[in-house]
Amino acid sequence: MRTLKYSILTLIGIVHLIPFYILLGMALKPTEDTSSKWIFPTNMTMDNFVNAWNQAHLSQALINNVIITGSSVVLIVLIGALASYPLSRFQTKWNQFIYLLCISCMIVPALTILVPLYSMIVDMGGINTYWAAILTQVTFQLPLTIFLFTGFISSVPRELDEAGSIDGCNKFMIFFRIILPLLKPITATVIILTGLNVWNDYQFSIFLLQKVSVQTIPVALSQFISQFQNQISWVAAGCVIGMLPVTILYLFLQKYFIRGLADGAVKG
Amino acid sequence: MKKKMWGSSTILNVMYVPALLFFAVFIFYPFIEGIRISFTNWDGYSQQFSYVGFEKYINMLADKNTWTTMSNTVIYGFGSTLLQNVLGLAYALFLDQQLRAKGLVRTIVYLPVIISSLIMGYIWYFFFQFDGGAINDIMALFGAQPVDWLASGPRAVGIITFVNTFQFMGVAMTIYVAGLQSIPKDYYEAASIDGANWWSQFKNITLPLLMPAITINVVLNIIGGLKLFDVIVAMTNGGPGYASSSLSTMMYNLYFARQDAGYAAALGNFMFLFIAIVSITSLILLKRKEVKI
Amino acid sequence: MRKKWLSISCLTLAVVTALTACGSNGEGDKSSNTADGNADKKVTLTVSTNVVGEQATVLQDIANKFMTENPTIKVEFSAPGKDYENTMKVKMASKDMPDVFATHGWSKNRYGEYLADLSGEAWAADLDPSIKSSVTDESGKLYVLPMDQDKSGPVYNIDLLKEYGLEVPKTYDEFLAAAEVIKTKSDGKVVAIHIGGADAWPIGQWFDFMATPMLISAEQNSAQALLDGTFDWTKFDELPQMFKDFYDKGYFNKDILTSKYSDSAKAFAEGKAVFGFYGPYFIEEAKNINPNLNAGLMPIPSIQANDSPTFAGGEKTTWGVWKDSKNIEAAKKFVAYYAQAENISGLAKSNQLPPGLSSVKIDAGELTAYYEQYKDTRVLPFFDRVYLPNGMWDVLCKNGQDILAGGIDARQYSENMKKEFERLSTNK
Repeated sequence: MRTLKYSILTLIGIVHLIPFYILLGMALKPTEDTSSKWIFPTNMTMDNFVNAWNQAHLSQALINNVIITGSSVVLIVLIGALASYPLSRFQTKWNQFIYLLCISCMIVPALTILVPLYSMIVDMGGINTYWAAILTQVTFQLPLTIFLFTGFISSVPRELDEAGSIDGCNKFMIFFRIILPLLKPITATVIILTGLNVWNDYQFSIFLLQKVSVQTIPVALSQFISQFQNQISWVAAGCVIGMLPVTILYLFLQKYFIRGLADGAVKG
Repeated sequence: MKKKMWGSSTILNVMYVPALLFFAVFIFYPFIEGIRISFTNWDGYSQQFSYVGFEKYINMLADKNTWTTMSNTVIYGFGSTLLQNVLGLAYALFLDQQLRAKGLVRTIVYLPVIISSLIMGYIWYFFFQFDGGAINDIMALFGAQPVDWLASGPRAVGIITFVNTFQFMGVAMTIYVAGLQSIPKDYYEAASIDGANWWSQFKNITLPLLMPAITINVVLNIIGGLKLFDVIVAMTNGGPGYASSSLSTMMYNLYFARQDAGYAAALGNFMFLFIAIVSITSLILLKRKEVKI
Repeated sequence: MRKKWLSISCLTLAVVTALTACGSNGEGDKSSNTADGNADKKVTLTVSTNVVGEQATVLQDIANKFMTENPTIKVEFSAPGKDYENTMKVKMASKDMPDVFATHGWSKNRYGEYLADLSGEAWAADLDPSIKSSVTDESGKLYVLPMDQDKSGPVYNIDLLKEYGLEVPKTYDEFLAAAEVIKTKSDGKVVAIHIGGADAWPIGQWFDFMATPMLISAEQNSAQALLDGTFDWTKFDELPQMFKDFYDKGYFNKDILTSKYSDSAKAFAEGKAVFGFYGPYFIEEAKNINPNLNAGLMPIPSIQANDSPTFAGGEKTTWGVWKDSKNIEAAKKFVAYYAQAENISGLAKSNQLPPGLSSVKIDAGELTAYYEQYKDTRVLPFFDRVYLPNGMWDVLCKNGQDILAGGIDARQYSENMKKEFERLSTNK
């Protein structure tokens, strides 16, 4: 029985690793090597990575990604948590309506609003700026954030609020001093989920960030791929580089994520 | 006394004003504009256009491609959701046992989630390519003829659903693992003592207590699946023709390639309504089934 | 602990605000800079083109030279590839165009209302007469600088043609016969034409080429009918039917629906396809893979009896100036720089096409001999640019995919064409 279980375990592990194995193999193969994708290269080369890095301007793209994602996440957490407190605690008819309104914004397809949104941002002078990209990303991650925060806050006992009130705190202080610190686990979840979405965003960034100097990795990579699609090894190398930052981050933060999900999803 | 304590609650509502402002500026206003555009024959870029009433909506309903795309979108949405949740739960159950290296395997399964869907699409495209694709290579090894996997509409839809599942089932799995771990073990012990077998325990303890997790997973999966875009662009670009398109890719194509912004906007509004109705209905139905501990 | 949270948030906010402020100042808000007639102030030009790879590099090198000779002008060059057209459409809608941009065949029909009139420029008198009508209108407005001109027809593998004992086909019937020979002699391993259908536009390219001999080039043709909207679309059926038949007979690559343009280049380079229905640039692309490739250019075979082969021609690499640009003088200067003989010559050569200015001698690399050989062959404009309203390209492509996949038949194809034709024509 145990061997069966471990065989299945290994099988699952291998099956889910296969795509990455193939990708890595392609990225390390020299361009002249046209052997099957299943065969891992014996003479590996880093050339593809160097080419992809330079041609796709990935160093600049990385910086842009960090700036945009970092700023967005800070704003998302603050505005989202702030908004979620009254929506979770005081479920008046009006607040319930507002809550539904916020959640329904998750459904709006990006393209229906793309052109009016783009026009508006041009008029504001925001194309190719960080702030327009950041504000747009924040807006589109807020629904999910509010969804997660309200779920979590409802699991925090109201007695804590009351205790704070008795101690002389006003409503706002209750939020900042008592509730907010307790939100750490779900905040980690929010940071990871929304951070990922912002980091990997393509549909908006392709229009808002057109200059090479402000492009994020997905945009730079997509142009690189369409430009060099006959250089498959370069494409593969580019994909690997695009994956690395988030993978490393995840490996460090996964503990918090699991705990946050547990509390948010289950108690929500 | 209660009234006095929470009397100033309306003041607190000011806390969600910033969020509302964001929505108003970046979503509501453009959305209304989008509705206006759906009543015009604008081509998406020139300065002239005229109002054409409901013509675009009528075209949309009469176009056979709309229905193909609709059914594809439904398959992407519900198919992915079904597969992701069944597999996710199965994996969660399996990986919740006492096994060494289960954490490692969980991380491996979750890994695709963090990669951009565009990249994931390309990776799997290398698998299903006709010439030199990984799968055709294996088939050649067994002496079979290479198959043009993505050339047939229905097959492409299935493949894309599979790729989407593969990418995001780690999310479902992780949420289910968390859910499973929050169920107190004594419930199971008590049930064992009472002679209940595994299936009975699963049906009567695990499933009901897992409902909040199921709700979140299903609703998020449905919305994500119905809006599917990046993967399709990377693998088939909606082709051949519109055979593997989703509402999103068709809208993108209508707006840019076909230069029919009015039609695209009409489709977009239709898509919004459809996704809204489906997801809100699912949310309400599932929330009713939740059991509070 | 709370304090730590709070201070970290405040610090981050401060850093973020500082960064974004720097970001917006550094990058500039609108795409064009502050209007300033003073020639001493630094001016930034935004320049955008649809081409990628080698073609883009050549353009960028010239831009860099321009910058060294004009230190007060900074050029921001971008070549976004496949998203170029989409981005340009969104930009047109919000009246936010680059100062200088490429029009890839659509200077009059799509970008026309956004382009400044260049007829007053010094180089304007030097336009090659064969390209002049494509880039000027009846009022004399000159829309763009055409640096080279397209003279496209299919390309073929010289060695393979010889190996199969074939001559360059002049009519479509000869072409079909050749395709059969190729199929039988190679036992199906080599195909007549490889088309990267997954990218959609290669399919459109086939239709664009073949529509001319079918509808336009013969003496009895439908040119006028198409132009004044009286065309009988049942006459169009034959074209998609030809396409389907060609596929059914096995003359196209089997994976036509899922292979991409880059696969075509590979197949052509490796001798797995004899003909490429792309254009001269395709040879350059294939040679990157196999430098020993021996390829030639042929005109499009005729279809109707008593007709002769033709080339498809029109603008290829162009620069247009946004008429509302805030730096219009600098933009015109930029364009004029490219009009210099050595730049035009270098560019045309790298694209293996004839130049757009008559004072520059043709030097299309290896293809010069072919242009010489076919110098009396008629050059007719690309079918879709003249006879189809703007926006029909996608219909050609998507329906082409559909008919191969069995979703529609030739009659439906024409019906779809008719519907879109009428919709897009009334919009103008």
